[in-house]
Amino acid sequence: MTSQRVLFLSVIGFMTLVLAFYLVVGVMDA
Amino acid sequence: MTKHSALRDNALTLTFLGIFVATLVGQAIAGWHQYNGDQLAHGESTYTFLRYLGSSSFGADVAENWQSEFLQFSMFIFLSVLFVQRGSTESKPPGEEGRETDEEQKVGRHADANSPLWARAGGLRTAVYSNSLLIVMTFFWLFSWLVQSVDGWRVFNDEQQSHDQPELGYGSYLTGSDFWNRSLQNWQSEMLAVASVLIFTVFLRQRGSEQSKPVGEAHAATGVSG
Repeated sequence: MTSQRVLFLSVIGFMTLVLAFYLVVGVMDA
Repeated sequence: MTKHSALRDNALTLTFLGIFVATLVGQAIAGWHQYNGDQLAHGESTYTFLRYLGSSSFGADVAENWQSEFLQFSMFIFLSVLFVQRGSTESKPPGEEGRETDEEQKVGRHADANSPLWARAGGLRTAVYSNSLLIVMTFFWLFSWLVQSVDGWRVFNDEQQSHDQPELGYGSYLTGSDFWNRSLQNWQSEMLAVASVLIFTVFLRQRGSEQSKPVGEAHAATGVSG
C-alpha cells in the first residue's frame, strides 16, 4: 500500500472512531 | 526524476495533522480548566483530565467545530460544480459550469490506463465514485452534526440541572436555541471564509502557494494556481 493510501485511510479511520466514541459518550450520558 | 520519500510526499497533510493534534491537546487542557472552574462555581465536583476527555462536554465542543468544517467543504465541492467565480483560483473558468462530459472527466470508455478502476467500471460504481468526495465529506458533516446534537443535548441538560431548570427531551433540544446557536455561529464563519477566499484570490497573490495564482497572472485568469 502506498504511503498516501495509508494516510488517507488513517485519517478516515481516526475521524470515524472519534465521532463514534463521542456518540456513545453522549448516548450513555443520557 | 525527483526523489520520492514518504515524508516529503505527504508533508503538507502531515504538517496539518501535527498542528491539529497540538491544537486539540490545547483545546482539551483549556476546556478542562474551564469546565472545572464552572463546576466549582456551582459547588459541584470536578473532573480529572481523563474523565474530561471522555465527557460529552469535550465531545460537543470538538464535534461542533468539525461539523461546520465538513459542511463548508461539502458545500464548496457541490456549489463549485454549479457556479463559477471569474478570476478565482478556487473556481473553474466561466463556461465550464456543470458536471462536464464523460470525455472531459475521463469516465467509462474515456478512462485511460492510469484511471482508477471505478472510473472505468461504469454503472453504479462509476456513479458512486464520480461523487465520492462529496459523499464522504457530507457523511462526516452529518456524523459530526449528530454527535454535536447528542453531546450538546447532554451538556445543555447538565446546565439546566445545575440551575434547577427543567431538562429537555432530545427532540425539543433539536428545535431549541442552544442547538441552533451552536450550529449557525460556526456556519456563518465558514461561509464568509469561503466567499472571501473566492474573491480575494482574484486580486491577491501569495508567491509559491498553490492557493494563489502566480504573482504576474492576470486578475481575469480563472482556476490557475501555482
